[in-house]
Amino acid sequence: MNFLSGIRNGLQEIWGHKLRSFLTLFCVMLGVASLVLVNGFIDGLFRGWLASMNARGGLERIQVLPKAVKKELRHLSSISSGVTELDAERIAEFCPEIQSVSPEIKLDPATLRYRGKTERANLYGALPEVFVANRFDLESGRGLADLDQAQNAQVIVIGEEIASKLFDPGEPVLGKTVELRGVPFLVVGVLEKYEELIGDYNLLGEKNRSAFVPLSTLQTKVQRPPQLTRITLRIPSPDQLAEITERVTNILFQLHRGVEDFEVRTNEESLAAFQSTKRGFVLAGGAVGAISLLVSGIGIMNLMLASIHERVREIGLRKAIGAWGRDIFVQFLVEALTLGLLGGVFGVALGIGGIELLQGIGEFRPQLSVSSVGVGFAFSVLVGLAAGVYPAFKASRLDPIDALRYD
Amino acid sequence: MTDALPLVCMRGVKKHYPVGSTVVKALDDVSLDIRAGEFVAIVGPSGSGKSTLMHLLGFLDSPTGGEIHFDGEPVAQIGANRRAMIRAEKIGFVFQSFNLLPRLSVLRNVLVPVSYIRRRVERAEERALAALDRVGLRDRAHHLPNQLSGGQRQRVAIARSLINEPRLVLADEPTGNLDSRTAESILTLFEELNAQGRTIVLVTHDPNVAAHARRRVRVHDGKIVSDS
Ligand SMILES: Nc1ncnc2c1ncn2[C@@H]1O[C@H](COP(=O)(O)OP(=O)(O)OP(=O)(O)O)[C@@H](O)[C@H]1O
Ligand SMILES: [Mg+2]
Repeated sequence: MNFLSGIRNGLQEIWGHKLRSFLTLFCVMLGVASLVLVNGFIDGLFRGWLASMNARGGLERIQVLPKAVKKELRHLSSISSGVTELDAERIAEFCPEIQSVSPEIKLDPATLRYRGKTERANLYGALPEVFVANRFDLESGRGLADLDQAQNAQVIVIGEEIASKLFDPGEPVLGKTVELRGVPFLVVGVLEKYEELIGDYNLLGEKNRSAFVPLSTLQTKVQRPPQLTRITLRIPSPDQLAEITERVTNILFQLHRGVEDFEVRTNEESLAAFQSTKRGFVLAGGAVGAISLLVSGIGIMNLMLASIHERVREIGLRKAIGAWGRDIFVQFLVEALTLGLLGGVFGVALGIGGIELLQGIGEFRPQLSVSSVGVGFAFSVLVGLAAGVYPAFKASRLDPIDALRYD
Repeated sequence: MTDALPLVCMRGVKKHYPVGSTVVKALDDVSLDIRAGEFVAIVGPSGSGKSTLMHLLGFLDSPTGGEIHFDGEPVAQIGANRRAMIRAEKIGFVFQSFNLLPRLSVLRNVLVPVSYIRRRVERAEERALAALDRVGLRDRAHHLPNQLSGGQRQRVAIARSLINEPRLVLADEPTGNLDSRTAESILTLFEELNAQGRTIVLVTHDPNVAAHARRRVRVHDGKIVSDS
């Protein structure tokens, strides 16, 4: 008896006991579907988080942000000059292993104008390092240059969405002049398009709405803010995160004469929070999976035992005309496997349907991935095999003569 | 006609069942030789041990005493898997209660023994149809067993026993449910098979059926009382 005729046999037996089989299949189906769904949720969570973590520079990014001084120390705040370009210079000087130190000023609100069209932008005055520090790559043109800073050049690098909104499709963008608060800027570079879709929401959409001008130009020609919005640091590897954070903090305390008007922020906390959330999900998913496994397994085993009880004469006959114990074992195992697989197919279908349905609802969407479908199938095969072994073994050990005489 | 070596040889074979504090002696000290090419009828009243004897001849069952040799080999020393292989290839069984598989069509029922022959089988379906033809049921090949009468089912069981062209056919009341005409045609079939050189052992309580055999072994209370 080959595997396919075994499956056919199994299907015939399932069809022969419709209600009983349906009830068992229903258990397996629900088990598999819940597993696919939970797995999908975990995948969605993980992917979404990873994307936003990357968008925020990952663990290699440290940010220095200005912070309000505590009320009782407010009278001291005037002895510190806040977060300034000097801080950035000193950090670069005393921590040479930091790959890039990018002082940035955000201009808010910032509207870019081109031939009557206007577009809101996340506009930063920055140094050339800003692209490395914040993981931006150029699609065309060039980035900011040191010379731009020195000359207070009126040049701008814009994000993909800004370019596509301000300019017509196919229209050359480089070399055009856009206006920012009445000051003309020459477009010298366009950034790559960033996309990480969850449903139709682009997690990285904010990146595409960015625009960068030289820091010195912003300070001299558009606005003259006393303080930086932030300093973005990029370190070579997450291993050095703790050490560099501590050194940067020390340097800043020195420069700020001990006034805590700054904050050194890393993505570590959000990683830790994420990891504990994920652990919780995996644990809950694992528990759901284990219970489904148990329930489906019990269902299949119950069905197989009943089926074998009914078919003692068949087993006896098969053994009498030459079946080995092994043949009987395989026959019943394949039947159990067929049950599991069938439940698996329906369950995966139901799970996929559930995931598709949930795409439309809520902001936290599960994600359909190969791994969740794979886990669903693996689970159904496993459950079929695990639940089938004992009944199949029992069947294979029947004595033909007892089985033939059995009424 | 008779070979020097018997196909099956039983010496002092016992089959005792302990039931409570007593012992049921289904077979007691039976010695019997079945030679290749013989047509033997085993007769006796109900409960005399005929089926038990047949099961032992096909080593479906093990005796509680004595020795059985098949083809010169002591059966007790043949492992379970090889016994199954010998049964599949050399012995055709017709059981008293036919034992057809209810979910399989007549044709697939007849084909079941083919799946336990551990080599490639050519034209199995064609041969199954031919076997069904011999018992007059070719046109029922795609019916299910519960769509057949008792006699028809019995004939399917006979066709199934012939599919692997066994040397020895062991048939337990093969004509028990048949009218005399159909029974006659089945017996003619057994005679033809015997003429082809196959050994036939037929269990019956019907003297008319036994008359077709060349040798009659009478069993009573687990003992052979006559052999002619
Ligand atoms: N498992 C068992 N336990 C106890 N006694 C048994 C068992 N199997 C068979 N017997 C007994 O052995 C005896 C012979 O049984 P067997 O089936 O061989 O009779 P038979 O000659 O084939 O009868 P029939 O013509 O009615 O089929 C019977 O008395 C039966 O009760
Ligand atoms: Mg009997």
